[in-house]
Formats: sequence, C-alpha cells, structure tokens
Amino acid sequence: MIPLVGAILNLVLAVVYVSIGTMVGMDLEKQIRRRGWSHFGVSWLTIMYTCGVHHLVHGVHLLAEGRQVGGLDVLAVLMGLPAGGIWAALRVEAARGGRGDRYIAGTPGWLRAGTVGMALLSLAVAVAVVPWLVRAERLDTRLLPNILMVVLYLAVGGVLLRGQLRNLTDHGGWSTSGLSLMMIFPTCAMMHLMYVAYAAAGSFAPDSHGLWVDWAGVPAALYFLWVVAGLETGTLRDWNDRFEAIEEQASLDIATGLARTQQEVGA
Amino acid sequence: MPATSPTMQAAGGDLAARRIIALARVAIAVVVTAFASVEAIPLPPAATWVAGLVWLPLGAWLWFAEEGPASRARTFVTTVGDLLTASAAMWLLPGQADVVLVLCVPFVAAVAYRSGAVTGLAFAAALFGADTLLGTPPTGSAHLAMHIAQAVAVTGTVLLITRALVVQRRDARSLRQQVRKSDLILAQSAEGMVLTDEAGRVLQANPAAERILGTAGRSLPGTSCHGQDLRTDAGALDCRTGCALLALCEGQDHGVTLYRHVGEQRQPLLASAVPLVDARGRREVLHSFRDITHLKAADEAKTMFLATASHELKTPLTVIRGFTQVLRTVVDEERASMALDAIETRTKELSAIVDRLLLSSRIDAGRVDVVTEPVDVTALLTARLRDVGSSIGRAVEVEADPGLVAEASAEALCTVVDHLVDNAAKYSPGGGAITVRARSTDDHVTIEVSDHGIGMTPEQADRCFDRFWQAEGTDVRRFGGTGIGLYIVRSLVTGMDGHVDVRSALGRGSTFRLTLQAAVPAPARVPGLAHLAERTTVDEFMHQLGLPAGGTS
Repeated sequence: MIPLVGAILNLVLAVVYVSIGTMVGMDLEKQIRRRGWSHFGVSWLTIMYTCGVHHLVHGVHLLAEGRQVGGLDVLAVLMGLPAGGIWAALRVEAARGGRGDRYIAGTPGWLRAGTVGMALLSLAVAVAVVPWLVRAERLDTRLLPNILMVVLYLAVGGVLLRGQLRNLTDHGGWSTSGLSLMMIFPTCAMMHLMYVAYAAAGSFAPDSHGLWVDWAGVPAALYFLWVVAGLETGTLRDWNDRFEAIEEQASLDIATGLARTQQEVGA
Repeated sequence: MPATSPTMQAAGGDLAARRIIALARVAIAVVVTAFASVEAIPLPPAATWVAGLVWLPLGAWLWFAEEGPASRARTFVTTVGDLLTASAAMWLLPGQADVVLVLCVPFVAAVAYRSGAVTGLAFAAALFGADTLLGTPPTGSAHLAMHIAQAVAVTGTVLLITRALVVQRRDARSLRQQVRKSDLILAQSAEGMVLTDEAGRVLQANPAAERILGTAGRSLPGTSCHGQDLRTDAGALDCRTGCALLALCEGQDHGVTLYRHVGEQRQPLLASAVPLVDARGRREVLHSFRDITHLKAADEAKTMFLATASHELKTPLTVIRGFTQVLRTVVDEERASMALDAIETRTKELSAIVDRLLLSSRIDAGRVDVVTEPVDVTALLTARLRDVGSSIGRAVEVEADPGLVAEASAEALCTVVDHLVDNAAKYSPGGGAITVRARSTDDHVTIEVSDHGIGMTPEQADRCFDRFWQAEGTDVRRFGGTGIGLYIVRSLVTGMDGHVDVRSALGRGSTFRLTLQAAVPAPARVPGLAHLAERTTVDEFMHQLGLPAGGTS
C-alpha cells in the first residue's frame, strides 16, 4: 500500500514539476528575442525538469519494479503537498485570469502555529530517520548526489527565506505564493533525505537511470543556488537584455551616420 | 524591494578569469565525482566520498565567493587548495598523475592571470614536482606522448600569461585615460557633484559643487552634509536616519527642487541622488546639484505675465460677449445677425483659451487646491457627456460600470473629462466615434477616453503632458490650441492622487487612461504586485520570492 501511495504522489509531483518547467520555458522563448536570457528562468527550468524526472523515475520504480520504501518516504512527500497544492492552485487561478496570489497581512497566529508545527514535524522525521541511517550496511557512493541535494536544497530554502523576510519588511505581510514556492525546497530536501535513508538501509538499491538524473540535478541545483544568491546580493543581473543593447547601438550608429551625411551634404 | 545599485567592481579581466576558473573547478569536481560514484573511474570509495563531500562543496563555495570582491586570503586558499587537491589525486592514482597534471593546466593559467606570472610559474613548478614525486616514471611511447602534451600545455600557459600581462597593461592604460577624462568632465561640469558616505560625510566634490554649496574659505570634502541648510517646500531635509535626498529621488527621473538660504536670498536648486556601492561593498551616495535661480525667476516672470495678460483679456472679452448678446436682441437684419453669431462664437472660444491659461497659471502658482471626496463617477460621466456629442459634432459613446465611486473632486474631474473629450475630437479630424469607458480595477477606478484620430509616436506620447507642448509645429495651424490642456489634465489628476497615461499609435488613435483611488476599499492584495499582470511568469516568481528582477525591460 505504502509503495503504491508513494508512487502516485511521486508521479503527480513529476507532472506538476515538468508542467511548471514547460510554462517557464515558454515564457523564456517568448522573451528571448527582446530581453535575452534570464538566469533565474533557465535555472528554474532546469531545477523543475531534473526534479520532475527524479520523481518520475522514483515513481515508476515504486509502481512497476517493486521498489520498497517505508512510511517516512510518503510522509516526506505529504509534507510538501500543502505548499505545492496551494501554489499549483494559485497558478491555475492566475492562468484563468485571476490574481494568482493572496496577501497575508502581518504574521497571523495560524501562520506562526503552522510554521512551528512544520518545524516540529520536520524535526521528528529527521529523528525518525536516524535509526535507518544507523542500520546502513554499506553507504553506496551512488547516493552522493542525493546527499548533495539535501544540502543544496536546504541552502536554497535559506536564501529564499531571506527574500520572504525582506518582503515582510517591505510590505508588512507575506505573499502566499512566494511562501509556498519557498517551502517547496526544504520539503524536497526532506524527500531526498528519505531516499538516502531507505537506500542506505538496504530497502532498495540505487539504479543507474536515477543516478544519472540525480547527478544532472546537482549542477542544476548549484546553478539555481548561485542565481538566487547572486540576485539577492546584487552581484548578478537577470535578463541580460543583450538584444536591446544591440538594437540601441544600431540606432545610435544610424543616427551618427545620418548626422555625418548631413554635415557632408551641408559642407 | 530595494533597487539594484550600480557596483564598482574590480577590473573586468581579473573578475572574468576568477569566475571562469571557479566554474571550471566546480565542473571538473562534478564530473570526476559523478564518474567515480559509478566506478567508471577506479577511485577508491573513500576518495569518492571525499571528492563529493569536500572537494565539490569547497569548489562551489569558492565559485560563489569569487563573484564578490577579490580577497588576498581567498587567492592564497584557492591556490593551496588546488595544489593539495591535485597532489591528493596524483597520490591516489599514481598511474594517472600525468592526466591530473594536464587537467590542472587551466588552474595554472588562471593562477598566473589572477596573481601574476611568478605565482603562476611557482604553482606550475609545484605541480610538476608533485607529478615527479608521486607519479610513475615515464615508460613507453604513450607516456612520452603525455610528456610532450605537458610541454605543449605549459608553453600554452606561458603564452597565456604573456597575453594576460599585455591585456592587463592595456586595460590599465585605458583605465588611466578614462579616469583622466572623467576628472576633466567633473571639473568642467556646471552641475555640482558631491559624493558622500553613508553617514553623510563628503568624500569628494567638484568645483561646481564648491561654487554652489561651499562656504567661503572652507572646502566641502571632509565636512558633513548635515551642515547644509537644504529644504523642500515641506521643510528642512532630515538626514539623521539616512540620506533624505535619496529617499526623495526614489522613482524620480528629473530630480527634485530644493531651496537653500544664502543671506536673505532663497536659492533654488535642482537636486538628485543615486546610491553607489564601492568595491568593498560600502554604500555611498552621489548627489548632483544645479543652481536654477535664473530659471526659476524666468519661469515666475512668465507665469506672472500669463496670469496678468489672461486676467486683462478676460474683462474686455466678457464685455464684448455681453454686448453681443444685447445686440442680437435688437438686430433683425440677416447679415448683421450672422456677424454677431460669429463674434459670439469666437469670443466664446477665446474665453475658453483664456480660462485655460488662467487655470494653468493658478496651478503653477500653487493656488489650486483639489479637495477629494467620494464621487459617483458613473453618474458624473453620464450626466456630463449626455449632450456633449451634439456640441462637438461627434458621437460620444459612454460605457461605465454601474456604481463606480472614486476619491476625486467632481469639479476637477469634469474639467479633466472635458479636456480629454475636446482633445479627442480635435485630433480626430476624420470623424469617428469617441469612446469613454469607466470600470473598476481592484482598488482603483479607471476612465479611458479613446479616439480613432491621428495618434502619436511613442516620443510624442512621452511629452504630450508637458506644458505648451504640441505634437508638431505644423499641427498648431491645423488643429489650433495652446498646448496646455493635457498639462492641466495631468496636474488635476495628480492633485486627486491619481495617475494619467496614454497609449497611442500613429494614424490609429489614442487612449488616455485616468486611474483614481476607489472610494470603497477593495479586498486586500499584495502591495507592490499590482503591475504583475504584464510580467512574465519568471518575473512573477522572482518577485514573489523577494528576489530583485534586475531587468530593465
């Protein structure tokens, strides 16, 4: 039963992530002529595709190839579902011409309680995973990318949390969509931690397709972390606007040429 | 969201080299670790764990760190780190030591580029030493080929170093020329430029700034800007908690007007401020000041002349119009009646022009107080525009949502709508309907006046709200007018805390849009995100995550 639920949830996540990636890709394609590349857009797209394919592979293994995982794996996915569900619903609303966001004035009690509850649950899951790691018979080097992604996703979550806190300072409240987007990364870290725990304990063996997908996810996560950290500190400028710059230069050249021609004609 | 400040960074070539080498370090670490983790490279598992959990994170940290200002300590750490990593790999794989050495050639180049030829050569020598000590002695033709490859790589490195030094020297010369040119521009500029630190201490000032702000016998650098008695109409600038001028200039393109008391005189200044971040991350503020005493005096004289002339014209016009109406009651002869009709029509037009000039002068003199209150926009537009079609000879279609209530002045709003409808009729000489739409958008009420007339280019649309400005000189004769109608519109709308803009296409007509605060509060929404409807998903996500978009489109 647990593998079936886990498989369905993972496949749903795969579809959602790949859909978001496609949506971002379409936006980038529309803008590239005028604004050039967006680091944030490209990195977000790569994260969504690598995450989506990771969940697809994991879901297929659970559903069709008899991979066994425990309840903690499903619990980790379930922890990410509220944030992902709220965010997906807001995107659907935006696609239908709605606001696509809700403003939460101040920090209401339910938000504080939810944050504390989530932190306690995460702590409990982290404690519950220790016996599985202790039971590890042999730490397979193929688990390295998943361990790296636990750290990377937590780091991304940390950077995005700073952005949310700045939004709170600037606007005196929270953006529901921004909060749920931010929450996706720590819950992803939790999912990869569970993956490592069950694989290390011998519940299943890491496979080659998943391994290459996860190794592709490491540079994608690194790139995303570099982008959000760079944007936050102001060392990176998004949307390189190269084409606009070229067009401006061309206009300038034409204007200069015209002026020179007029001078020559006048002389 | 804070605006991204311009950053004074290190020389471009050095920064680019540091970025490239840092990225290359991470890429190599990822590839080596990934292949080692599936045993494609016969690395012991312990080495794979070390590579993945130490080398890769360390490389990533250095990659991120290299984006910031250059640091001597970090340069040392990266060089030693690379050397230790390469030596460890040679020790673990003595048979592959030559391969590791070749892989490290880019590092050698970057070290030389970043830290100079001597450090680069020392680094290369240390790597050769490690290869000799830890690698296997050369045997066979393959190994010989590897040594030749090493020789080629090192020669290339030396060439690269030479090239780097040449480029650096050229960059330095170019930089010196730029600095000299910038100094000359600053010295000759009529605009006073003052650079201060965050605490308001003046770091640098050009001669014009000394002339405009300086006190006799005392130079500006080293003084505090708190000593400058700079004021706005609302009162003195308070810089105790940060640069007040910077806060005033946020969102302003043209600067703000300040005043300074020089003896008994009030000296007006056009001022602006922008934030700067220097190479060490310290925030500074660049202020500019222009003495606009003469401009202000000329502008006040012009306003006074317009007000006086308009007032003087108004009285005789009223008399002419009154007597014309009297004469019409006693004159029956047809030609005389036609002449009186013409006089009355022209007098009415002239009175309208004089009224506009008077209103414009009163706005300039700050004598127009727009007091807002809840106004039923739907009822006002319906009543005001019911019969206007017949008077301007044009169909006017009104599409207003029911029950729109805005914070506005009914009198000012009537004036604004009248001007926009007149404008639409005037600049659509080929006829065509004029459409007035009013609707509610979240917490605002928008009113759009559209025509299918001659339209404007984007440059004309940018300037159309300027005082006395008209699209083309030749159009003055074709369409008449004084060029102050839209100036009055913008002034009155701004006075109602609203906003007016225009969308226009040449030959296809124009749409003027007024945005006023709705009097009934709309449901709460995310502040600052109202404009996101026109953004891409990428911009929207960045905004929601609290990341500065940085794009300028």
